[in-house]
Amino acid sequence: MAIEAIDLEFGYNEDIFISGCSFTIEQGKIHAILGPNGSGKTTILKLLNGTLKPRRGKVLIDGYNVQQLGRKALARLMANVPQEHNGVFPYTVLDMVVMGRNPYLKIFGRPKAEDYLIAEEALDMLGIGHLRDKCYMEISGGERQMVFLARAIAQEASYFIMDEPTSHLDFYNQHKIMEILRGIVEEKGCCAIVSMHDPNLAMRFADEVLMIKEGRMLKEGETLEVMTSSNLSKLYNMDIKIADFEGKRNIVYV
Amino acid sequence: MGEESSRFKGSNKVALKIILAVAVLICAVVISFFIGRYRIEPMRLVQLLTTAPSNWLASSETSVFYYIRLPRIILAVLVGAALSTAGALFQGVFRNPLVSPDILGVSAGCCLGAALGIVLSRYISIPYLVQILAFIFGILAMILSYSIASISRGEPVVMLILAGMIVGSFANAALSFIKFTADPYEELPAIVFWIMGGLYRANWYMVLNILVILIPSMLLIILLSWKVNVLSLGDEEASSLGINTRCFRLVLLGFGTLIVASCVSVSGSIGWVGLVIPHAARIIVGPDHKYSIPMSMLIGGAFVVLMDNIARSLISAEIPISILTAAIGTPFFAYLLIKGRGSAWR
Repeated sequence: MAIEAIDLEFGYNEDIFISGCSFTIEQGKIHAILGPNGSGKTTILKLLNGTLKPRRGKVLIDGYNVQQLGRKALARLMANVPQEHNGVFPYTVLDMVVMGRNPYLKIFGRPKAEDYLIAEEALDMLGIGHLRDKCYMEISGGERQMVFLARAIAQEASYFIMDEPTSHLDFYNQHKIMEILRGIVEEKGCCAIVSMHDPNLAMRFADEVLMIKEGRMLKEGETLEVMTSSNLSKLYNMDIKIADFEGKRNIVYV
Repeated sequence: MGEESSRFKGSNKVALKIILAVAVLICAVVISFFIGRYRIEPMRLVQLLTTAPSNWLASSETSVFYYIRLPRIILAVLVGAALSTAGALFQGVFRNPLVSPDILGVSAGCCLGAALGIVLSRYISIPYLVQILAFIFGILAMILSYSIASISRGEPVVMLILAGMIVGSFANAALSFIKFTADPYEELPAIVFWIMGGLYRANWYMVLNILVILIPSMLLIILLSWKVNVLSLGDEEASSLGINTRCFRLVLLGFGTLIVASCVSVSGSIGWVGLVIPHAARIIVGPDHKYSIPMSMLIGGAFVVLMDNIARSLISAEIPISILTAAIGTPFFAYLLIKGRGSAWR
């Protein structure tokens, strides 16, 4: 059970955004995608979740080609946690989370009592049960990110795709979201693919790191092996050192 | 368990509001029985309602009631309910509070078809030619808008809105041309009055015809109403939640268009209802389409039937109903905006 990206290439006309990307994402782990702005992190995630169609190569989820899976079947395997959200209707938090049950409903179906129960359990699991009846637009950014995470949990998917889930959050909430994610991955044995900007977060929470630069893979592998000062310096074009501080490895710019 | 019961309390509250809206609609219909030039005594209502169809033509009272007033009231409720349903649906599908059922150029297409029918009926006589052409042109307008939007690359919802504007404007231009060339003493006023809208043409034939279209379409929309919530999150999120957005949107827009075209083809364009009523419904029951669509349906029916009562009884001549829906709808909407919290919209 894994996501396999095989020789992905993507672009419009002459412009190639992604090329020669092959990697395997295994379950039970957090995979971080690191790279400078415009390097193609979001494009890779969109290729993985089937939003974009690769020009060459393919993405296999548990052996099925993403482009050939129906939306419903795919949604049962893979959940997306959006970075920001430009909704227009002020649904309650519970209504928002219960939408994660959509892939399990029939065409004319609407969520039943057990679906609401699953949604409430997801909220409780993240410790935001008290927000259920609040409008999801009127809570803080950190709380909203948790709501989308709860929706992904209610979706009962094995893969979570997260595009910079922490980029709008403060220092505390960044770590909180990642710690919660860590807990979910360990408890449910699922897998999170997270693009992020902060290499320290990746260092602390990711099991594996995929480094993307200018649409190509720079390095891929276990966090401790890949996150070296020379790789990071190459990735961001700056002089980066790694310092041990109370037993934790920290990335510093000197 | 205490938390769970509070959720059901929430849906009970909505159920109560829906029951209340049903009661309001029934009251509005009953009041309408007694309004009109021919006076019907309240005491006679039960006796009138139990008259066998074979005796409907027996007295002037029963024939006024059964052949003029009743079909008109039913048509008013149907048109109001249907336009409001389509409005609530389209606002959700397009994720835009300014959207009305006219968005895909459907009403403009219907008006063009009707004008063509009015001019053509000088040369050919087909019963209900105006209505038939109005319906066909309304559907054609939607098909054209949808095709233009599908061919163009770009964000589908934005493309649909733009394509609808294109088709609507083109239909309006063609309509103006027909008006310009029409006979100014007979055809032109007929076109103008037709477009202003009214339910004075109501008869059983029309009621039955649009019922055949409205009942299945509205039922389908209600059955799909919860999924409109998911679609309203935007294409990318909706599809990651397992919805085939293109296909689902086409189904919804198709049935919405059937509803609008059948309404406009019998009543002319009754503006403002499909725009305002959904906002009022959301203020009452919140943004969840599972509730806001049925609520729009109920208060839309009540609103139009009441407006039609005024249209046919305020002065000796019939007032075009779209004047009233706008004149009374606007202050009502302003009141709701001030009292409510911005129409449950971000």
